[in-house]
Amino acid sequence: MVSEKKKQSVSTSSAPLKQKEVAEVVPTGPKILGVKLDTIRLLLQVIIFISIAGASISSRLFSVIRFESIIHEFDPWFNFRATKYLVTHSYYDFLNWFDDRTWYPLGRVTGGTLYPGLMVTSGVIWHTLREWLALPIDIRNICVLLAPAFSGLTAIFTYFFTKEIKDSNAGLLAAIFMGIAPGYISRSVAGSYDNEAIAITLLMATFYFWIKAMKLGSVFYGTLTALFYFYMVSAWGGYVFITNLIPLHIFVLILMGRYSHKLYTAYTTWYALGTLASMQIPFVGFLPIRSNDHMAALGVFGLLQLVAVGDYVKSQIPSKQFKSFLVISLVLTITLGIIGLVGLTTLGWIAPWTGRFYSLWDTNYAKIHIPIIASVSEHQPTAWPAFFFDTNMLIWLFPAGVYLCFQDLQNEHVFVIIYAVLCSYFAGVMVRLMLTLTPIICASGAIALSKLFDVYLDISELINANPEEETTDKKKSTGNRKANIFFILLSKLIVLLTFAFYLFYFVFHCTWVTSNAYSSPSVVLASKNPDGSQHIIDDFREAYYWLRMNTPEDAKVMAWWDYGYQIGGMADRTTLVDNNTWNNTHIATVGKAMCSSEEVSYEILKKHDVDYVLVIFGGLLGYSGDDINKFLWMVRISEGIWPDEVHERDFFSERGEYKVDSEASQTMKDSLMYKMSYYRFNELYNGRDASDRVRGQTIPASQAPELNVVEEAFTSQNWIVRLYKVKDLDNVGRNLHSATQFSKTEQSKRKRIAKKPVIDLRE
Amino acid sequence: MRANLFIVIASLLNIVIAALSNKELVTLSKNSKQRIIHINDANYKTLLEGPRDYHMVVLMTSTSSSINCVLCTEFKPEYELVSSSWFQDHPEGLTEEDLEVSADEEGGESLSKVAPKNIYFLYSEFTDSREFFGVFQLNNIPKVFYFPPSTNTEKNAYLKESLEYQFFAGSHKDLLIDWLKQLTGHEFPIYIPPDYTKLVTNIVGALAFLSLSKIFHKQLLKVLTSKIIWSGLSLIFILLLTSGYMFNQIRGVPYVRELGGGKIEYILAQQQNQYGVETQILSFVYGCLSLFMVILVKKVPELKNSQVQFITVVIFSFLIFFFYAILVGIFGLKGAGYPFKLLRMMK
Repeated sequence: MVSEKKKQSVSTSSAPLKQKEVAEVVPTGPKILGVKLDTIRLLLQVIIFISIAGASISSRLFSVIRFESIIHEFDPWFNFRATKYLVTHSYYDFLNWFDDRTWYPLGRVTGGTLYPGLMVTSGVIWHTLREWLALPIDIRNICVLLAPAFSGLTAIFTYFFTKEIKDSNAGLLAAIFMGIAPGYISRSVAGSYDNEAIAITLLMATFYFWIKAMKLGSVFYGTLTALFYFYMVSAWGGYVFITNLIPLHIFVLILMGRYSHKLYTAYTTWYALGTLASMQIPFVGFLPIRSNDHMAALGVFGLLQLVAVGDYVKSQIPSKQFKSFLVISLVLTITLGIIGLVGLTTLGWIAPWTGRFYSLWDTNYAKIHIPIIASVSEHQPTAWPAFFFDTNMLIWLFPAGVYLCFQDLQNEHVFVIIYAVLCSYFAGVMVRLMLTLTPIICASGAIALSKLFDVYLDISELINANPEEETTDKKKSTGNRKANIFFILLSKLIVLLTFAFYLFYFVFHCTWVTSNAYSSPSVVLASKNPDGSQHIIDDFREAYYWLRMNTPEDAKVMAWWDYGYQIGGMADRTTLVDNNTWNNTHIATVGKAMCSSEEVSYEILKKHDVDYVLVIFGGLLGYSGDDINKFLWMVRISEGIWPDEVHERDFFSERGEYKVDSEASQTMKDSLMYKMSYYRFNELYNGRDASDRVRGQTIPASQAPELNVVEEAFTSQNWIVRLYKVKDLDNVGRNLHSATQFSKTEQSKRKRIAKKPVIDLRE
Repeated sequence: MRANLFIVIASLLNIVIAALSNKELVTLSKNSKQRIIHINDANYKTLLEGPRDYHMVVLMTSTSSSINCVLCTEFKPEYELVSSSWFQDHPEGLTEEDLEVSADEEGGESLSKVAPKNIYFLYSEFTDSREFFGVFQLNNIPKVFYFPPSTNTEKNAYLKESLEYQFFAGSHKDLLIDWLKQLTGHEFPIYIPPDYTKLVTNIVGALAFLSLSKIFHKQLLKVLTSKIIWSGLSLIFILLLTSGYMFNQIRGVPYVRELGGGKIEYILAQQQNQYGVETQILSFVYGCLSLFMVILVKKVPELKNSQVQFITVVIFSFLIFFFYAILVGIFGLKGAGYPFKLLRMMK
């Protein structure tokens, strides 16, 4: 009885509490005020969608409002540069793009080594607006606003996805959660023009169509899944997650004995079309049939064929013979499959697991074998505050939702459970994979919450209770019944009000997190003046602009790889290494140039035609992400290539500490990086001991570094960016050290006028 | 054991302090399977004082649970492996032949190069060598010291001669071998001894598992198809992972930190870091909140009596509020100026 009543009330659209509309609960009447119920529901849903999309877009605009319409961080600068290339050249030029302005002197086959989905998307939008709608919008603005726009779409796809799992009530809740959950906002604020910006949308779309295809056994939806899978492959390397999750889902379903023709149709359609389509992306190419990351999908494809044959045989022959048939064929195929896989891998036909993927399982792998992966901050493991920070109350609704999925355990619930378990692990190992966990947290949180609302928003009990009770026990006093109703109402109210309160708190939390943690472009830094007003620190753009205006167009700039994309994007100068860390040796070369003594470095600099060297120095302002703090990674990476010449141990003080003050080791003090960072730093303090505000150490005036092979070209206002010009070989053939000594004595005779940077804005 | 006793007695009776000879050390090293000489308060003077004609490496550490040193337990087996591998190649140390052969090979260069010398691995445990640790004035463990061959007869000369090994991230045995190679000029091939006991237990375990599953296959099937077990496992897994279990595993963070004066710090006030105990606290809080939520959704509607229903709802709503407030409170303790709290519990 109870469950039937529930079903009735579920079918009415009860809007989530975020929206002000109160859903009318009329279980019987198909019409309200002469308007059909379906029409009202549709209208309400549209309004809710619009407001959800509005909420999710506007909460991502903090950075544009606070700062300006600017591309953020590092990778987005490359994407932006590539997009500009795409809209100024043809599509085929773009795919064949060989970029000689990065990785000098090697160059990079950019067209073949990027995921073009993001650039093509914004390119298409740009062309559509310009040519069809006659709205010539700057490509930068499209790039900046692409991520918020797609977040609105993500919310809608999350709605459809969750609707397939439970119903539209849960869908609406999931949509609003997805719209404002900080875990997703962190990668999709305006200006964060990165692959993830559209990839999460595509992820949700692919999953939605997959659930649909699997439920209906429809070739049409299977094709749509493949189509969105193709789009996803073109947009983000994380597509491997889908490539493994869907086969795993099928595999678990087969183990549970739930094989059906529907599964067969959906999976084979998706796999055949999706794999063929994904091979059209130049960067992916033949990987889907040659790398171990994709072998699970192929294996399950084969397994499914066998199961289908088995299913057919079972229907034709008696069950006893079938049993032996089953056992023999299972053992045979599994052994053959494993032998084949191992054999092909050892023969080199199939690439073994890629390092990045492998490091997910063996968590110490990267630390020992691939320092360049371990050095990236977003590849660190996740401490618990990150989970709460990114999802707030959803983090404890999440297990409840998963439990409720176990209660129903339809095929689609199995999907949710697998997704939840796998992604919790991934997110625990790597901070950046928090992003893929967020959608499922939102969906299961919404399922749990909407089940709660189903129970406690359901007042049909109160209305229907009257006739029943009258027929069963007429003698009960009406007062008793009223008291009953009162208690029922009160308990419903308590639950609803507390959860309404939590939802409000959730919104406040999300807004606070977004505005405080995720809205800084990191290209422009903000600090507070003593009076509380905002003070913008714009050193990066200042320096990059200086480079752009004051150096020859073909000048080569050497910097640590973190800044490669920014230099390419903002200064438009050739770089040696950048954030596309494809060549470890080249990065190690730059690392060696930075950590060696001047003589050794000079040879490297000259061999690589370097004109300018750029270092980031935060010691004056207390900017902790500077090069001295990253220095040990440079040492480690170059030690990996030249273990004889570079020793990490030499950079520690005698007591084994990482020091830059008077206790710093000689190797440290001799390194080019140290010298460039602290060059003339003491002059700021009028020749007295200078204090480094990041590391809280003092640089004694007596060890002020002296530079012979490079000369200071530019230092930004707050000293964050320092640029050095590499000197030419001396005209009269002296070595550079003696040349500097000579000119120094000359200068001191002429009484040098020290040019001091303006320092009154500090503190 | 007898040899050890003998040494101790000998050291007590020794009037002229002099280091042990190669032969004595080899016999001493045979006491342990890994060929590591145990050094403690009783014998450290005998072993280290005086001139010596060999290299010595001393690991000073503690595997006692009261000290709870992660690096120590991580490092010790690798150290033992290096030692046992060395003695597998040279069961009696470097013999006369070894020394002659290497001298011949190097020919004329041998004059400039130091002739190869024996190396011995020593190990001391903090609990039985407090005095010895005190001599080195150690503040933290583990430490590895290297003592080169010397002719110095002064008292406590070994303190000045010692070189300290720096611990870095990476494979400990490789780093240690690199370091020793530089200092001694020896090659250290690694022999990982095949662990027969493990192999046997694995085979026995697998067989036992197979036969048991054959016998109890019905029960096993029931367990494997049991929804409760699967949901329980998945939920525990999710709860642990969303409260930073992997972080503890990867970073090897301490369980709690003891502050001075008997105080114990349970919550580390950093956003990007945590103690081991936090995972337990948090997974408990999350688990309770989820459980209450499920009770509200599933169990409460089944209650017939509306007054009982009301009371349960009040109780569980309050519990949810209370635990949620605790959660927000703990998060506030993690720093970063979090402005929200649901209850004023702590200052």
